[in-house]
Amino acid sequence: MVRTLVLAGLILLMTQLPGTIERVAFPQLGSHFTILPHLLASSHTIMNGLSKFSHGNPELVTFRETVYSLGSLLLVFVVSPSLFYFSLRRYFLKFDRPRLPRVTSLLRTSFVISLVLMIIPDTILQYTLRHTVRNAESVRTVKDDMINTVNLIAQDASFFRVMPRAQGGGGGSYDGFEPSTSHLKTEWAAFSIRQNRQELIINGSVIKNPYLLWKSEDTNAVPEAGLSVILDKQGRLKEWTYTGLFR
Amino acid sequence: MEKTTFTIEIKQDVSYVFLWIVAGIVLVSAAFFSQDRIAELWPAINAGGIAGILYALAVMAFTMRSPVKTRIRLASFIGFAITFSFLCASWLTTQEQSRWQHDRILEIRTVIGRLISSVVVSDTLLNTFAEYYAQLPHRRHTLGEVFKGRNPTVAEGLNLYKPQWAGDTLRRIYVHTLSKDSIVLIATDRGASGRNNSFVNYNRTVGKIQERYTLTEKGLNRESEN
Repeated sequence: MVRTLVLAGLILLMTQLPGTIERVAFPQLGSHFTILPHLLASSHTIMNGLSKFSHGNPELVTFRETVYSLGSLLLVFVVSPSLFYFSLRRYFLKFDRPRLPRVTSLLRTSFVISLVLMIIPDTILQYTLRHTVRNAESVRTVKDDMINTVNLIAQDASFFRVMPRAQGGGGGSYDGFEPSTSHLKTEWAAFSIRQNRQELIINGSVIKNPYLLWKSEDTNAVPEAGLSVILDKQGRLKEWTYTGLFR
Repeated sequence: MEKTTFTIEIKQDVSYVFLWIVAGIVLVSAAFFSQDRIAELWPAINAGGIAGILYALAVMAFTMRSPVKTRIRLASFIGFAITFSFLCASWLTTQEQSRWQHDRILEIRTVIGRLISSVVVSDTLLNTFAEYYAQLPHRRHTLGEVFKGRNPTVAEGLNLYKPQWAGDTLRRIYVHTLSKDSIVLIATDRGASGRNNSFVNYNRTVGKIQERYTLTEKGLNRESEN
């Protein structure tokens, strides 16, 4: 009973150990040490993208990251399987030899069990996260594409408003303005405009399911997702309204 | 005072463990360092992971050999297969997802780059356009002259973009052509990749977005060159 409780406590400690080491021993370090090496590589890849986003240059792999990733590889694939399987062999063959102290075998066993307990929920989490992130990202991408089109329509309308009627423009209003056909209908959305006194109301709604952006499914269902905005007489876009998936 | 003496004996099985661990460290480290680790960790991590799985399989096969009972050997193999299957599935999913997110971040950057350039250029040229037509019916200055009057320091080939925030150093808007009837501006962004990786930009960068804006009396024409 005591041994079981101690084992459970050690398992709990082992799952918290990497973060604890990070906070206590190396508080000045920014990179997170994890037992699972692929999580470290994933973190670096995303940081790489963010660095290119901000500065245009990738973030190079640091010496600390090299050491951490090699350390986690050796821990997961070399040290823990070796200690675990050799002690398992000794246990099943009941060798009549002096054993290692109990605390060592408890540490070894708890470490391996905590590793297994981390891997299985991590895998399930990764699959769930992948699905959720892609759905959210596909909606965001289509929404951004529509906002971009609305901006282009608004720019064209502003130039039209400024141009005199004699030159084919609006002469100070949006009367007679028609967006180009490439703006009225894109791959993902259709747009319409409506005059309201000195203002222009631009409406857009999806004509294709945004969730199909990165996957193919046999469905024609188009969920509700749209936006509406007012272009005022100064050429400013105001009162953005989103409906359905875009809300 | 009792003196306690500790004698450490290295038993044969302990020496086996030590040798196996040393061999594993050499194998996994060699695989890890054989790959490029400059921009990305994945090649090195993948090589080390493959070497590590092969090593773990070898350790399991060595330790579970006879006289260990067959059913224990089978259970051990099944436990190994389940654990490392989950690890591989998580590994591959994480790699694919992280690279996907990396690419999405860069796509967002491209969208933002094009949008900001479009808004800034449109605002700049709309002011020129409005001032030009405000001269009617007694037009005194050409379109080019109005633009030059509003931007006295610019000339063909120069950048007229002013940074909008502290880190805004990658965006440029060049005056390509400044004639009496037309103004051509070219917008580039060193932080945003275009459609063609080998496209040579106006400012000698390669593969970045480039938009061409032409203002005439009839209005603004946009052309996305990359």
